[in-house]
Amino acid sequence: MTDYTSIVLLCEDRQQEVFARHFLMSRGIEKHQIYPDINPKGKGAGEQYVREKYPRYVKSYRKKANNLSNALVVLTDADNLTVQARLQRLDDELQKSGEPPRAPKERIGLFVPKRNIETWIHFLKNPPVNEEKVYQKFHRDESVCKPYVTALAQNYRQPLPETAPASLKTACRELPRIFPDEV
Amino acid sequence: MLSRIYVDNYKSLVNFELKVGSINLLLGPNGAGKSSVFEVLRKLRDFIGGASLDSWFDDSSRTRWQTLRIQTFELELGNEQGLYQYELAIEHDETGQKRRVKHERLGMDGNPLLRFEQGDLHLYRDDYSAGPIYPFDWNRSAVASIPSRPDNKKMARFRERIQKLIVTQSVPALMASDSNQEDAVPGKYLENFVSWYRYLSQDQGLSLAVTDALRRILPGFDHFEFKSYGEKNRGLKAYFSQPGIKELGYTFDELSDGQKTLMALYTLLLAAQKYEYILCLDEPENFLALPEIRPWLVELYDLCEEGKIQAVLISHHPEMIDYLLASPVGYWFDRQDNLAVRVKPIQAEEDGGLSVSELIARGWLHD
Repeated sequence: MTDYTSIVLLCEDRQQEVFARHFLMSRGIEKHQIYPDINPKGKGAGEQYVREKYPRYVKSYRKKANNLSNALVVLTDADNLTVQARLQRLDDELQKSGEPPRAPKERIGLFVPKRNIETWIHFLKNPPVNEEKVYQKFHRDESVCKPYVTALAQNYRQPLPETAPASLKTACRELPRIFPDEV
Repeated sequence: MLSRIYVDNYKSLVNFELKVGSINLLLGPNGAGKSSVFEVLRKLRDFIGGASLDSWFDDSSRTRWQTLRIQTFELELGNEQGLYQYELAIEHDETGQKRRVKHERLGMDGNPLLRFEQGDLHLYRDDYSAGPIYPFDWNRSAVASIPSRPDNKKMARFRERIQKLIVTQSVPALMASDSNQEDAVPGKYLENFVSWYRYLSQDQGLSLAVTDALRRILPGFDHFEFKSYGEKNRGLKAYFSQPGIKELGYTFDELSDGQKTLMALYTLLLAAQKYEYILCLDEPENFLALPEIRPWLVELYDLCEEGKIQAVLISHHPEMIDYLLASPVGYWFDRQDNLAVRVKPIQAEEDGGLSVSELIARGWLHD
């Protein structure tokens, strides 16, 4: 397995953090190797926070001499945009800051749940789901997703069911960037 | 789980109420009363553990600008059986030299388990039926003194649970490297960490878990070992190994302040998980290097969020504030004109402005 020194987890809110961190841990990453950066309260929209901070992390990641032992995992909800449109906004932000687009071997994974992370959790708990619908949040009960995330992480090489949200299928295709040795 | 603390007439805490969840972050300026809440919890734990009233609640602890001679303390604590309600009222005499328990009451879900009033102790059974009444000491906790019996298990469980309150702050310079006894409870400044670890190390499973955790977070750490000096004294040594270098042992006082604190903080987490401690930690991040704070905090957050432990933290550190306040777990302490403490939940505004830690640093939170 990839021997990481640290994985920065840039995300919009607590639910995304719990989901992604638990996924990484279920894939064998140690808790102390994961550095979550969640949009702090008061900073405004989570999407804006992630979008603005993303190029700064990419810049620092690229400056590190041995960036194979580090990774950047980014989560941002698609909300009412398409996944591609949300990814495009992140790319635009990189370009605006003068950074080249992601290279295939860079350990920078972008994960965009549509409509948001709760859609994925509701799918894992009780499929199918509708990516246009707003699902209920698990307020102060974010860890409810953990057993389902564990199951997803353990079976991630297997194809997702037909009914899986397209955004989750797209996200799974990002995983080899973070776990290149497991492909 | 501790769910409510009420204090009246103790230092700056007047008619003060705090409702807490599984993880809580107390914020506010210096002198706002955060540490007084911890002090109250520590004193109640020790009083219910058998300490005498005189040794803990002297006259100087009354609120200075009040003439009221009675101090009131209440705790609510839940378990799978129900919600305990504990009340203690202390009456100080006119001279300020003497004090006594005015009343001490323990109940569950509104039903009595024990009542000490006007010198008489009323005992109740687990089914809340009335038991014997007899005169009792005005200077001690009745909860501490009643022997456990098959029909008062609820009271005994409350007493045990309160002893699980760990109220502490890491001050590594005060941590002795030797121990002449086992201590069941870490001290106010973790000064007895080695004696506490000596006590915990009787549990081999816990020792192994601590060793394993420290190996992951402290580069080169291998294990702890106690060395005997005389009949009772033991010194704690930490062994570090590096590839190609002989294993090196360091006495506890040879370690850096940050290393001592990390060892103590991870031991607290693991011990709390195993023995259901309620952790009240004052500025736990002190002495830690920046990258060391968040991994410990994430570990703590997970344990609390999964209901395995409960924690109340005091901190001024942005790393702590920004990570924890991604959930609504913050309480802001403040004192208007140096008078009574007021506390309110921190409600961050989703306005695209500054983060809570930045607002606090600029003095703009609740301004």
